[in-house]
Amino acid sequence: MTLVFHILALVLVVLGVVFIFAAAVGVSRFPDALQRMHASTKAGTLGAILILGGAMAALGSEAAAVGTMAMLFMLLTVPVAAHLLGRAAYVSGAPLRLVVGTNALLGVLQRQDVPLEERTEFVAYAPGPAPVVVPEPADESLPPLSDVRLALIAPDIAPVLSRALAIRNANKVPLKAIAVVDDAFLQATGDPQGARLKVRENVAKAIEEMETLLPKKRSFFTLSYEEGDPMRLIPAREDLGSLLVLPWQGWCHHGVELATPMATGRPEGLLRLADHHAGGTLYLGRKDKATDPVVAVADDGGDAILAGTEWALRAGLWSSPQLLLVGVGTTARRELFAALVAEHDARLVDKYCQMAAGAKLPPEAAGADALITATLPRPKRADWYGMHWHQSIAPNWAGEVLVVPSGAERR
Amino acid sequence: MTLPDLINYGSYALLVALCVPLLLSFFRMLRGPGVADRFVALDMLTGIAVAMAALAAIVTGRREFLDVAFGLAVFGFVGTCALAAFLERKGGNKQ
Repeated sequence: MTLVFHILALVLVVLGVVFIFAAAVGVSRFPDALQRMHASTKAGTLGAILILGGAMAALGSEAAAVGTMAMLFMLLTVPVAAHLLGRAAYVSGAPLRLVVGTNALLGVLQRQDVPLEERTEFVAYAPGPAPVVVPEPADESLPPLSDVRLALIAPDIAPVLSRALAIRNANKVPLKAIAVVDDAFLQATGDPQGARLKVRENVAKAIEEMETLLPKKRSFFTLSYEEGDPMRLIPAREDLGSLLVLPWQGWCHHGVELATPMATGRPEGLLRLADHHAGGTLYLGRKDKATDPVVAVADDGGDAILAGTEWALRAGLWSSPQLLLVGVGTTARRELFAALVAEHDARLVDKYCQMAAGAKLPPEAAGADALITATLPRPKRADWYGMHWHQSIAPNWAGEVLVVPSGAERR
Repeated sequence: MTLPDLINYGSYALLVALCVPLLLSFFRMLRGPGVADRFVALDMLTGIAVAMAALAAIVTGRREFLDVAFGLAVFGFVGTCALAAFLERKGGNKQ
């Protein structure tokens, strides 16, 4: 009897080692993770169990209990672990090589396109050649209007929405509404949770109102809602063709009047949004829309204002506008603008205004319907100790203000 | 040489021979190239460790090594499950 057990032990142990050898060769030679697992989990486990059996046979009855337990445990757990690992490998996008036939898991499990190691920086899966960066040739003119963004700022959203819709309809570009809750404001109130609820309530009302104002067919429209830093969330930092439409007052606290004892001054950055936006930024005015609107152009003699004006005319922000040049007033500049309006549905008003001291616009231009400018007046606060920022453009200014993409950002 | 001696020395030899699969799996774990490959190789390593513990039990004649084998199997299972969960959560979410 002992002889049988000894022979059995020898056979089992040798067989087990052979299986483990096969498994190890498979693990090191197979081409992808799932095939390697196929070797390790089946042959490897069988090998380990056979060797355990051999040990039980060699050691006799005193080892039987724990040996059987270990064998049973391995038989029960290894398939579970293998299943989990295989599933994780598939889901994480581990490459599958030499796979033939249809993918039966298609539509059952979501699979990553790129394996994990290629999505993390510390290991390169297959380092390819570095991408060659071809510098784009510098272009004098701006790219055409590519999308219209609007900041949904409660409570007064109707003017912004209708203006943005009109521009969108004229150009057939996507329209993007962005509702942001300013986290800095919430923190500054000292009671972020309570303030958040109030602000959210206002935003919800604004979104409901927006639903009634939008047309039924609106595949071009997207709405995104975020809580965080409006400077980061609202502007488009790269896209020169993007137009950002903003109201003339208000901020991402959405009309919630709460004291902000935790901050020096009120968190507010309506005018600074234009600095972070690569494309043009349009601040709405309080005036009604005029036919043949007078558009004052604050000409600072730079390229940005010229390119920006051309861009605005091309996008048709105003229908057949009359441009009123304000600023440096050399004949050469006037020629440039004259050439510009000749290409578009626009006219040049035959009147020249000097830039007035103090206020940005002279009295002749103060009644214009819109202003195209490269820079906003400082300080860039919508409300500076009770003085609204429109006052620093011109006394009783009520028109729109378009901030063109600045020259520095255009390479 | 008696049969128990043969089993004893043979197991010793097999224990040394198992170093080859151990090294093969170990190199696979080092080289990867993917995260999943490393986890599979680690799973294989614990399997080989169980087998080596069983062989050590034969060589030394002490059945305590079977307890070691059992413990290694438990740890291997838990470890593999944890790594699989990690791979699925960290590697599976669409960004």
